[in-house]
This record gives sequence, structure tokens and C-alpha cells, in this order.
Amino acid sequence: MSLHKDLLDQAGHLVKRERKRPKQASLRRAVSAAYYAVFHLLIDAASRFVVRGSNRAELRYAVTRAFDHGEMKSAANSFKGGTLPSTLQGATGGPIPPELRRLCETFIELQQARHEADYDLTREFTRREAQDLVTRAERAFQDWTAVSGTPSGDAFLVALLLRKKLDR
Amino acid sequence: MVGHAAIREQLAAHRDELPFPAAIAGWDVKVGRDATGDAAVWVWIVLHDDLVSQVWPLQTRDEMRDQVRDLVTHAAAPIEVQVYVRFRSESEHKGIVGEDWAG
Repeated sequence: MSLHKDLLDQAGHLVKRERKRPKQASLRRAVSAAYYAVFHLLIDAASRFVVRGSNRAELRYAVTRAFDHGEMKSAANSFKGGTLPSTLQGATGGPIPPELRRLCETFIELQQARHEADYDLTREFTRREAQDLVTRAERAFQDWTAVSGTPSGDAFLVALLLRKKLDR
Repeated sequence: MVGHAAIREQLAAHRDELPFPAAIAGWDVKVGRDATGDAAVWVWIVLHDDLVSQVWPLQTRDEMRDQVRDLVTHAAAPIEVQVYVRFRSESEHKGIVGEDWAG
């Protein structure tokens, strides 16, 4: 099993812990795991898109280290709203599919929720909120499967790595 | 920064257009900057405890979330904002913010 699938599984387990009174620790870790599940899903896909071949693991790992959470959010914003940089507009093969728009929206929500879960001690999570985020992360995996290998999907992977540079 | 009151007014004005408006006990709105420094609005949609199940199918939550996001985006214009929409039951929300929360 891959890291991203394991993280998604872990999120699902954590959000169900302590049946009657879930601990903030469990809910916060569930939210964090849900974000990192989608994060690692996408950087794995993007690094494999950039570096092909079964014996290139070290080079792919080097590529994964180049991703920036903020730049990935910018890429997701572009694809969510359809306001692509001019350098990418011809590369998507048509309108952005709804699955990809929804994936981008989910990624942005999860990123913010992860920040709150990990750092904002004034913020209290309910199981309901955490479960909503975990469910949406699970669906993000399905949405990615729907667009993986399409021109829009490929353009999104490139944007995740190079969003700022694409504005030049 | 985005007007808190303007957002609440927009939500209230279009409440009946949302899926299952009778399930909505109210909302809480927070404005500020998110983790990456973008202008942001957080909306907690607070649902009557006994009506949460009406809204809980994922597709229904999606519709409600999308409409709330559009309403907030419109209210905030021309300022571009990230909109984060979350759901709580009324008892959950009062347990966090206090029993005197009135929607």
C-alpha cells in the first residue's frame, strides 16, 4: 500500500476513535492525515509524471522535495476557478472537468483545516467536521482517478510544481 | 477587509434558496487571513440537531457549501476571498461558543 493510501486509512481510523467523546488529539490528527493523504497522492502523481521509469526512485524523491504547499494552493486556486495562466490555457484540452475543480476545492479546504488542526489551539474540532473533511479527502482520491492521465490532469500536475513560474 | 455584517446579510437574504433551509439554525461567520495570508471568510452552517440528517448526504452538503461559497464571494466582491464552509449541529456549536449563541 502507498503512503497516501495509508494516510487516508489512518485518517478514517482516527476520526472514529473514542466513540462517545472524541479527543481533540484524535480529530486533529485525522484532519492532518486527511490533508497529507491528498498532498502525497498529488506529489506522487506529479513526480511520476515528471520522472518516468521504474528505477528512478531517487530522482523522483528529489522532485517530491521541490513541492511547496503555498504554490500547490495557488495551482489549485487557478484550476478551481478556471483562471489558468496563459501558458497553460491551451494545454488542458478543453474546460476543466468538475472532478478536478472539486479536487482543487477540497485540497484548499484540507490545507487550511490542517493548519488549524496542527497549530490553532483556539480552534475546537467536532467529529462531524473532521469526518466531513475525511470523507472529502476520500472522494478527492476518486476525483483524481477520474482525471488522471487526461490533458487537464497532466496540466494540473505541472502547475502544482511550477505555478509561479508559469506566470512569466 | 471584508465586511462581516454584509456577509451575514447576504446569507440571510438568500437563506430560503439553500437546500433544506428549515434545517439551518443559523451561522457563524469569521473574517481574517488564512494560513497562506489570503483574505478569507469562514462560515459555520449550524443545523438543528434533529434535522442534521437531511443535510448530511455528501451531495447535499456540496450543494449547500457551493451556494454559500458563491453568496460570500458575491458579498465580498471586489475583494477576492477564500471561503471555508463547515457544518455543525446546534448542540455542537453551543458546546463550543456558549449556550447563549442565537444564530
